[in-house]
Amino acid sequence: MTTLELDEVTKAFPPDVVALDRVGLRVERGELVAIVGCSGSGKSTLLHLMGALDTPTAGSVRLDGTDLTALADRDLTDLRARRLGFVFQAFHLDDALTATQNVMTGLLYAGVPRRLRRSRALEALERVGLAHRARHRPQQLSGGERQRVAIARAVAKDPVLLLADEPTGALDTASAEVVVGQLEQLHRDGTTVVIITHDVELARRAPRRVELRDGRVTSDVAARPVVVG
Amino acid sequence: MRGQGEGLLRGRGRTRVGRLSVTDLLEVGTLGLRTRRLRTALSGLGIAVGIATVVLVTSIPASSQAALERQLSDLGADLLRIDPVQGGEELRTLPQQSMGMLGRVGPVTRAAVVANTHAEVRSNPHRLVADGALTALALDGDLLPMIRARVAHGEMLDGDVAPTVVLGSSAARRLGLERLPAEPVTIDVGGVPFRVVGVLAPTPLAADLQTAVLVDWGDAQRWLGFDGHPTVAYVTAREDAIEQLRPVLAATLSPQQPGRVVVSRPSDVLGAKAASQEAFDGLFLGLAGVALLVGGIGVANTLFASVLERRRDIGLRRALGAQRTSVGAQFMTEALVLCLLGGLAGAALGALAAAWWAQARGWPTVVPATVVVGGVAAALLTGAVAGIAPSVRASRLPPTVALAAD
Ligand SMILES: Nc1ncnc2c1ncn2[C@@H]1O[C@H](COP(=O)(O)OP(=O)(O)OP(=O)(O)O)[C@@H](O)[C@H]1O
Ligand SMILES: [Mg+2]
Repeated sequence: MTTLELDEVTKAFPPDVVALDRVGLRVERGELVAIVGCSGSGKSTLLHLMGALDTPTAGSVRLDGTDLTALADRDLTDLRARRLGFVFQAFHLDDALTATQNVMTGLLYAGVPRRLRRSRALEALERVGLAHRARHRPQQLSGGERQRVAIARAVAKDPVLLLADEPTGALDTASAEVVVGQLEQLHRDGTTVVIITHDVELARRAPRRVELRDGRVTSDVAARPVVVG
Repeated sequence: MRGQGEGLLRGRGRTRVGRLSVTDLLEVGTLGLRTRRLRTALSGLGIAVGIATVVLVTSIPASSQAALERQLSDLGADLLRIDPVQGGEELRTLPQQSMGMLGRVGPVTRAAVVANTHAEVRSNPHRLVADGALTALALDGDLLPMIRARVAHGEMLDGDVAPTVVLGSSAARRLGLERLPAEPVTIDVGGVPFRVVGVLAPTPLAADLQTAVLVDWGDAQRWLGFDGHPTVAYVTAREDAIEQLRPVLAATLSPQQPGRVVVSRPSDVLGAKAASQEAFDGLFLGLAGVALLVGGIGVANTLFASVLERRRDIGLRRALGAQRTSVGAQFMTEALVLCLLGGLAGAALGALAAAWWAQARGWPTVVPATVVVGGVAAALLTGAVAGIAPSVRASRLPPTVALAAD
């Protein structure tokens, strides 16, 4: 089953930037896809469109069979709340909240009843191996641990698609290794994952690698047979 | 995976997710306040000052009024006044024996009577026109201490053989005799020269005495041909007996028709008059309004700064599925909670300051509840108005732009 389907997607920013140029891409359920490309090639723009954070200038984006281009902002938001998980390079954790509370924020807008949020947040922290850091605040955690909290926040609601924009961009090699391992584990557990990365090593490990250049897909290679969940 | 098989937009037609419950909203909306305490305190202070001013400037006059009322009612709480009900052609009076009759009523401690002699008062015998506004009242009994009258100049009536008179405070002013000259002064009452021996200080418990010249009962009968019928009677009694005493006094003076006399308590009338006076000072209320306006601008300013600073947080929340309205509501909650706290603190502060002020003057502390409630409501309203623009700004921030902010 196709989780994500982009067809002739173009994104232009006024006055004259064409960030994505007629991009076509299909991501099957359970896949792990790495999107690579040099700076300015349109990776983040692509992730925004995949994640219903923005709408294309032309073409269509279908998530789980629903055409996103036809949806109003509140429906797109609804969709993000229920179906999508995001991981960003800069973590975007709230320094005032504990790890658990940060993960709970990921469930707040997903319609998870209040009383279930804590236990589900703790489950998610356990999945990324940070159950023992549940009460710690971001400043008390290493960069790698912070990113794992962010991953827990993204996956706590069991998204159909996990989108990560440079998840290891701010991490040292050892931390990056752990974070990548975590994302791979989520993939093995059945989550569909799209990772944007500069990290050549990470990209090489991915079962499928899509390369962008100047807003176009220049290569799309499966290193191993595509895993269909 | 959880929920994978369900339709993508199963939320349609129901409450949309991403819309927060009140508890969640309060939690999210106070996050910014809890993490930036100094800023919260400072911008809350702006509101607090406004509300404190409102509470203070209304409580001080209210306390002062209460003090005045208490003072007035303390002053003459034991005093009752009996008037015949006027009606028809003839002027009604009280029985000649009124004073004795009243004195025999159990709880009555003192009784006195006053009569209008209807004698004309002139400043000197050569003046042809009588000063019509001044009445000549005859006193019997120990009235002056009962109504707490104080002699401002000179002395009280002393039952002298020669006709003497004491002037009420307004009457003295009218006659140009506020200060008694060293040499004896006489005025003409009913064609008889009366020597002025004293001037009374104002007597709020018996205002009709202020515009009168007061003569001794015996003098009035001897010199003014007065018939001895009192027109007003006063008694003092134990305060706890005052209420039961009213019908008894009426029945005593008018056994056949108790309705023909009215018994009143002068101190009540004074208290009510004092209470009805305007208790709010418009100028200070205006200042309080300005303080609140400045406080509101401060809150709006703080919120705008907060929205700018928290763009990434807003972007993250939008990415996590927060609706525009939820983001807007988050900042509106922040504005409302901030102003509510400021309002409550201000009301408490204003009440404390009013209490301190009143205490220092020995007044009872009166903080009008309507002002406290109204003040807190005004603070909330300020928050709502101040919160609109920042909330709209926050809710309109596109998620991609917000996430990219540094
Ligand atoms: N909001 C915007 N307005 C105008 N131009 C934009 C906007 N967002 C992106 N662009 C442009 O679109 C192109 C693609 O940007 P994008 O952020 O997708 O690149 P990227 O591949 O993620 O780069 P990096 O690896 O540096 O993050 C760039 O030329 C960028 O300047
Ligand atoms: Mg990028």
